[in-house]
Amino acid sequence: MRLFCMTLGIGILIWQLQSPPEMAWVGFLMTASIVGARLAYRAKLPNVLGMIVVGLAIGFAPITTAESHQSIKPFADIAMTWVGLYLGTSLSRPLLANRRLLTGSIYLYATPVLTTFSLLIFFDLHLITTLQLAILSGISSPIFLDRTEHNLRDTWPFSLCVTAIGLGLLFLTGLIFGVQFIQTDGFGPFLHLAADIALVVLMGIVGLELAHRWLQHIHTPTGQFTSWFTLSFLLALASWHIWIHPLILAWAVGLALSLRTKRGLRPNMRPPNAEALIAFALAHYVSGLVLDWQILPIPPYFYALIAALILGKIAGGLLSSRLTSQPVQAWLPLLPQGFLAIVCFESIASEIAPLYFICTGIGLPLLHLVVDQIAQKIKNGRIRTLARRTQAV
Amino acid sequence: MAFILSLIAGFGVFFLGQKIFRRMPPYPLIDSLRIGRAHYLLLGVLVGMFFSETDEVFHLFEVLRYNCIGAILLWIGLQTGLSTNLQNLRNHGISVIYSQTAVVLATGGFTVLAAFASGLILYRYLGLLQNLPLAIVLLTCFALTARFPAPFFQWPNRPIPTPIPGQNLPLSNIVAMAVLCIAFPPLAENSIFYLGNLPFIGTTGIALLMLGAGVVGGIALDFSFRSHRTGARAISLVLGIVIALAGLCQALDLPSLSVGFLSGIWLINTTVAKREIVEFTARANDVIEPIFFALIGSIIGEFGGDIFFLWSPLYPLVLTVILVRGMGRTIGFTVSQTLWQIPQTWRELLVISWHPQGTLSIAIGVQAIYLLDFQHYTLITGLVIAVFLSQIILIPPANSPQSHT
Repeated sequence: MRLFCMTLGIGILIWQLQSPPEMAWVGFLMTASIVGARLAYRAKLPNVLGMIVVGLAIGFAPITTAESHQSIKPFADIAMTWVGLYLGTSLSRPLLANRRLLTGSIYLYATPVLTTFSLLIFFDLHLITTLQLAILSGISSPIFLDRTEHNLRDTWPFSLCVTAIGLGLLFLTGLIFGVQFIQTDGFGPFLHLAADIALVVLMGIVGLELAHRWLQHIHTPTGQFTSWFTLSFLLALASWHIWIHPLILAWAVGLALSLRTKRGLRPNMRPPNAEALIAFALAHYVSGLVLDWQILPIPPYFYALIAALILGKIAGGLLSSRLTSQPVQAWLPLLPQGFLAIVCFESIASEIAPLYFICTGIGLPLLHLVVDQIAQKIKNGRIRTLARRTQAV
Repeated sequence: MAFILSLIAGFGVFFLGQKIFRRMPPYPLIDSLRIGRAHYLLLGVLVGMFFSETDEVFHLFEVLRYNCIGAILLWIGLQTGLSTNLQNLRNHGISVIYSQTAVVLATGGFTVLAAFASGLILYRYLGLLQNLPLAIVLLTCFALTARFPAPFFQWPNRPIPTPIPGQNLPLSNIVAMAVLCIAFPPLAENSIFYLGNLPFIGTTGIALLMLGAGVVGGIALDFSFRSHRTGARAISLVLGIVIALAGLCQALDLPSLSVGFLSGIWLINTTVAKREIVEFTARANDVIEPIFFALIGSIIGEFGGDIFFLWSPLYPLVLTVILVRGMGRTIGFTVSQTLWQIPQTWRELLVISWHPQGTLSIAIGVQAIYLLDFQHYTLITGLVIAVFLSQIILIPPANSPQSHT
């Protein structure tokens, strides 16, 4: 209650200032989203859901303007980069070498993609857009899971693998645009573009190698935090230069850094779970979605997309359970779409991104919670019945 | 491209330095600079030198840097406030308190006189545009500050020095911050501040606003520490509050250092989790200070020799600042030696008179950017260099160990 009042106080102060400076906004968003996470935890909901709801509330509040939101974008980009690095470095070579996990992930990923593609193909959409939307529908939400709390060992790695497969395929669709570019503009301009990209990639490889060698010398939590903060800052700078979303760039860099080592990054080499930055990035992103939200008629393919996504994920989960003996609880938390998927979705179909986020980022976690509660009650009932029978015997 | 190359070169040098440091312990003079985080400043200068102002992302970087430095200033003020634990101050002997007071009075008086005498120089050569009294206050606060806690150095072929009484009493830093808090309201450039429709007019209004912001910040931090004493959640909440408070200070043109200081005093003297808070902030400080120095370095490096500072008045300024501070402290400690026998020996007198300055000193210098109008920042650069020069004036301990009565 005290923290809630404090956050409200900061909000009122910002409202009272004629032109609130950037830092006041950053502090307010950070504090509010953390308080939201705490309230959600008390209500036995995922922490991230609290952060998202706070972001929505701030987005709808009259004190939030597009200018103030835009003014703190550089800070939000650094926070986004941190989230991307955190997610990217979580996937390691030993995880990918786990055959059971990989097979399960492929089933879990491929089924919703095929379902969505086969359904969306009947709508009046460009083929590449259809393909990209289908690829995105298989991606899951690592960020919704609390690594310390969920009790199933494979859920978190599942979500990481599924996301990696999805983003890898999405990257490959970029090649189609390359072919289109050659067809329309010819081979000369394409070579120029390719040379620029090659230079950026080369510098990226040198930077990655340097960062990798640097990380090997980290021994203290202070060094760990400072190094990752510096890397986040540099990646945010790079993302402004090369016009790639900081979350995607950081995820790729984090993944490359993790795959560079044989057994993945040691715990003291990995980016720490900085809740403040994650909370701030989420709240800022969600409030931005609300500010950009325009009341437009919902396109007919939207409902089909959501239905195909849910059905496909359930089917994929069941298939994965059947063929790799995974329990239902291992894949059920993977129903919601994550931050990475929403960010990619925004670049494909920005007009329905807020609605998509509400359905897959808020609706599905709630649905999962309800299903989880029902499953738990059924399980408890069975245990009680069994106990009674045993007593009777 | 130049920026990326500078980054790679900067990190390469940094990496090499770290490797050498692992192999052999540095000489005390270099170690003193390392503890003062001079290497981060140099890294910042190197990076800043190649970050062109015409670069398309420069504006974004500038916004980030300005705001981050503002928030870190508040954090440094908070740290100083946290050292103002009245219970601890009472534990020190009264003669130590008297001795420090004499030093503070002598240094303060000497600096004020020197600053008044060089008022014209401040305007003509050091880029000050207006508000000389506030500049003098900031210079006085700067001269009063000292590095806290004082580090120990292992000199080759010398015994480990014994601590001097009062060496770990941050009274001069506390007085410096108190002077800034008291002197700012009557000397502020804007005499009216608006919070919504509520005006704060004149000295009393501004003092009330500053005190209110500090106390509210302290209460908010206390609330957050009551909910979470340690761990990631505590860091997140404290960071959020500090950043929001820094934003408030920027909006109202208040000195972040003073507001942070007042928050720190409130927090440390009212909280039930003193030890946890001090340990927690010390840990966070290890991350925040390097960022602060790198950002300051990037400002200095970026404008090197062009707009940011002028070379010709820089060296006399640095020497004057070091000499005035050193002389003031020497006079103060001589008085203290005569009256209270603190310090006991001439070597000790030299050691504590030329005690180096630290992060707070640089923070006070940088605070001037937010409070005063300058044509160029020669004064600020001079103060930053003076701090690092003061860190290499170290007096080695005597060959035979001494004991204090």
